[in-house]
Order: sequence, then C-alpha cells, then structure tokens
Amino acid sequence: MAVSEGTVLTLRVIDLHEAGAPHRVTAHRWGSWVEAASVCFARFHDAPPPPTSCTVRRPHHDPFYLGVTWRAPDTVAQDSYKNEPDATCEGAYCIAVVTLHEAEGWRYQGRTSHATGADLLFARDGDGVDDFVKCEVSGVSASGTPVGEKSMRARIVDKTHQVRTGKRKLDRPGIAVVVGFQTGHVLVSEVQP
Amino acid sequence: MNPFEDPKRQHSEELAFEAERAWAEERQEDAFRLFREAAKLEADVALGAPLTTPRARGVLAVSAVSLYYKGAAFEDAKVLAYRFLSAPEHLTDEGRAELEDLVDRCLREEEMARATGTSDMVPLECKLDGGRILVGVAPEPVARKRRERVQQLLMRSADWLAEQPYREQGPSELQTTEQIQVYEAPARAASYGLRFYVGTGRQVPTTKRVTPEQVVAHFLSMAAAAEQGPEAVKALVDDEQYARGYIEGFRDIAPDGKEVGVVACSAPTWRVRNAPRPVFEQKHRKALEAGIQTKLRPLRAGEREVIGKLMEIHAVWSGQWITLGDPSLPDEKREILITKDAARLIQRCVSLRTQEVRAIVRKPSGNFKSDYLVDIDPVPKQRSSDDDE
Repeated sequence: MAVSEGTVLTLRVIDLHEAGAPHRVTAHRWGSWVEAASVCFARFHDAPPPPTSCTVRRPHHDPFYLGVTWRAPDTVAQDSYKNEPDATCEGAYCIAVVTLHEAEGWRYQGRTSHATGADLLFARDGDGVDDFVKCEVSGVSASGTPVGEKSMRARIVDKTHQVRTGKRKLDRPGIAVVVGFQTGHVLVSEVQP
Repeated sequence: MNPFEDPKRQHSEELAFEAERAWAEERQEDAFRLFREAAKLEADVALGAPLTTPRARGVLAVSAVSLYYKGAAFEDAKVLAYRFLSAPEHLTDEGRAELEDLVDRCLREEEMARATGTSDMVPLECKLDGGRILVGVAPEPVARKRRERVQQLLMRSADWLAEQPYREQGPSELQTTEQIQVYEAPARAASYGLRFYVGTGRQVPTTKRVTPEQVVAHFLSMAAAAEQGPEAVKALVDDEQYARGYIEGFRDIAPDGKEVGVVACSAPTWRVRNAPRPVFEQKHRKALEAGIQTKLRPLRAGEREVIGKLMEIHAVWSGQWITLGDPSLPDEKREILITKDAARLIQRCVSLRTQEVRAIVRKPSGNFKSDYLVDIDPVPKQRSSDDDE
C-alpha cells in the first residue's frame, strides 16, 4: 500500500471475539471460526496488541483498513486446527463475515448446503426475506509458500467466476471474498446476475 | 416472521456444528444422530416459510433435506424433498434443481449403503462438457477411458497415502484386500457426469490406514496440481514414478478439445472440506503431455544414457545386475549393469520388466567391466492428443 505523507488512515479496530454479536451465528460456531482465524494469523503475525492490519479492497470503492484483534492460540487450539485447509476455510469465514459487515452492513444468516456453489448467506437490515445473497469465501494461509497479491487476485477471479456460474444460474447478486492471512489483504467482489 | 430469524434455525445450526465435530472426532453414530436432529428443526422452519418467498423456502428446504442426507436418513430426506417438489410453484428453479439433485444422491447412496453395509462412502464427480458431449450422452471410448483413468488414479492416491511402493501394473493391495473400494454410480448432470463413490471395507493391520476422505482429497489435490502443470505435480510427489503416473493419468482425463471440451472434477460432499475443483481444458492436456516427454534428470559428469529392452534381472546373494539390449542381438552386445542401490532399483526393474527402458549409468571407479545403474525409467510412448478417443 502506497501512503503519501500527511495521509490520515482510519483504522477500524475489530475484536474478533466480540464481532459475532450482530450475526445469526451460534456462539460455538463463531468461537470455532475465531479460533481458526487466530491460528491462521498466528502463522504469520505476532498476536495483538497492536491489532493486525488488514486492507479491504473492492472494485469501484476506496480501500478501507481494519485492525483485527485476536488472541494467541494455545496448544489445544493449534492442535485442533492442525488440518491447514480446515483452519484456513473456517478462519476465512470469520474474516469474511467481519469484512462484509463493515463494508455494507451485511449480516450473516447461515451456511448454504454443500456443493451449491456458495458458502454463506448474508442479508442487510430491512432486506426482504428473499433478498439474501450467497457468498463464496476462500482463504490463503499456506505455511511455507508466500502468497502475494497477484495470487490473491487470481483467486478472486476464480471465486467470482464460481459465484457467477455456480452450480446453477445466479438469480440474485452474489459476493466472492478472498482472505490472505499472510498479507492481511481481503479482496471482495460483488457479482451481478 | 422471517424464517431465517426463527430460533429453531439457530438450534439446528448448533446441532449441525456439533455433528461436524463428532464426525471429525470419528464418532460417526453421534454425528448421524445430531444431523438428523438438526434436520427435524430445519424442516419445521422450511415448512413454515411463507409460500410467497420461494427463494428462502428453497434454501431452507435444501438445507433441511441435505441435513437428513448427511445424517444418512435417506428415506426422510426423500420424503421431505418430495413434499416441497410437489408444489414446484413455491420454489425457484434453483431450489427445485437442488432438491432433485439431493433426491438422486439419496437414491444412489441408499443403494450403496445397502450393498456395503456402511454409510461413509465419499463421492467424486468428473463432469464432461463440450465437444461431442451431450446431455447424459457421450461417445463410449471417451467416457470409458476417463472412467478407467479416474479409478486408477483413485487407487494410486490410496497407494501413495498408504506408503505403498509404486505399482507399474496389477491391482492395488488396498483394493484386493477391500480396504478401499471404488463404486460407480452414473451421475445426473447438465452434461455428462462420471460419478464414483470411494468407501472402506475391512482394515488390514499391516497397511497404513487410509480413509476414503483422504483418498478423494488427495486425488483432487493432485488434479489441482496437474491443472497447474507437470512441475506442480512433481513438487507435490517426491517419487518420480508416482509423479509420472499422476501426470499420465490426468493427461488422459483432460480434454482433447474435439471430443471433449472441458472436464471438471469435484467432491460434492461436506466430508472433504475446502477441496479444490480443478477444471481441465485442452491446454492442460498439452502441458501434461509435454511434461511426460521430458527426459530423465540431466546426465551428470561420468554418466551416459542407455536405451533398450529390460531382459534379465539377477538378484542373488553375491550381487545384483540387469541386462539391457536388443533380444535379436547376441549376448555380448547387451549391456550388463550392476545395481548399487539394490533394493530400490531392483524393485523398479521388476516393475518394468520386459519394457523398453531408459537407464542412466556410470563407469565404476575400479576395474569392473560393467557400469553401475544409477536410475531407470520406462521410455514414454508417443501418442497423439486424442488417440484414446
């Protein structure tokens, strides 16, 4: 990120442990996702303070910055997320939920059944019952392989394509989110039918 | 009331979460029970959803039916799905298609459970599209070749995970002992689908335990690597023969551009999470083909390459050697190569017997007449892009 002298950056600080409150998610599931996100962050960053800085980028919008607070995972948490893909997947759900809420006030409504071409459902306050959107989430947190912004961009193109084509034709707008735990980048793409 | 805000949904999601945990901890019966409890609650919410909100109704119905499906309650899943499908005007096209898909899965897996006595089969699908593929119709050689290759690569994946030595031919020990079983169930698909189920039978204590989930996940990881190119496969598999086996296998699965346009692989199951969904096009086939035609590692100083038919393998107490050459020529024209790294090379030679091979050999430092065998590989067969079709 290039920042010229005198630029004032507004950093919204989010405590992951508290951030599940606005959403229709059970405490257990949210706790599990937060733990997974902490395990993924801990691979690359020191535990807060200070908060881990994340940059959220969306097409046609200015980027915004989140300061994410999480707790260093203990050995039990590390052990339960030994499976890297599982940890990355659940950790990415956590960061996607937080990011979409900060971006546009989206609230998590639930998970979709597997293999439908989407992972999570979101709706905003005041939306009709049928106006929810489906969201495809992907995380990048492979230990050992540094993943740069280029790979992240390739991944968001892939995910956007997945939302657009899905298993069935997209009948409402959809969202794709890619979370890079190493770089602290979150890419969001909104897909129109 | 917004059905998404129904407290029963929260409870259902909690139970589904517990079920996933139970499954991860290998408490299969608990997982099935919890999924069924979650399904009952979700079904209540779905059935109570307003008829005027077909999209929400469809999502909730699919969710409830899929929870019964995950709980291996196939009959309950079908009954609920039919209930919603009997009023299609209150569902979206997407909701209808998803429910029909779930009913189809339930029918197959119910049958599978009856045949195998277990409900832990893991599905793998390869969808063929474009070229001469029509809806549910494909030229027989096109489908057959890919069906065989997918089955071979699934067993190759099982062998690799079980740390079995590379098999040049013949069935896998895991298959003959029924530790890993592969079934085929023709898929419903918008184009033409090959659908397999990988399951487990009895466990043989001498072999490293491998689960169907691991086999399918490994297959898809290798497919995703093959989609990136032969080098990505070699980076994941540090055994040259296994790597070549995967590259050749996925080359044959990838489309030629004429008969088949696209081949997409996926595991439509919650049991293999975050699995890649590689999509092969003609360019991937070409890249994999090019990867196979690369030579053995480059020759180093003091080494030379010998190509010939592997004729004899001697493994006796006093030493190990092989002979390479043209069977029509006299003995003195044949190469006799001493194998220094006996166990590994003799094993490879046995798997390559009677084949045309390419060997890297080195002059010994002493007064030995015969060269040392350093490495050996089969000579790849030249093939056109679509000779299997």
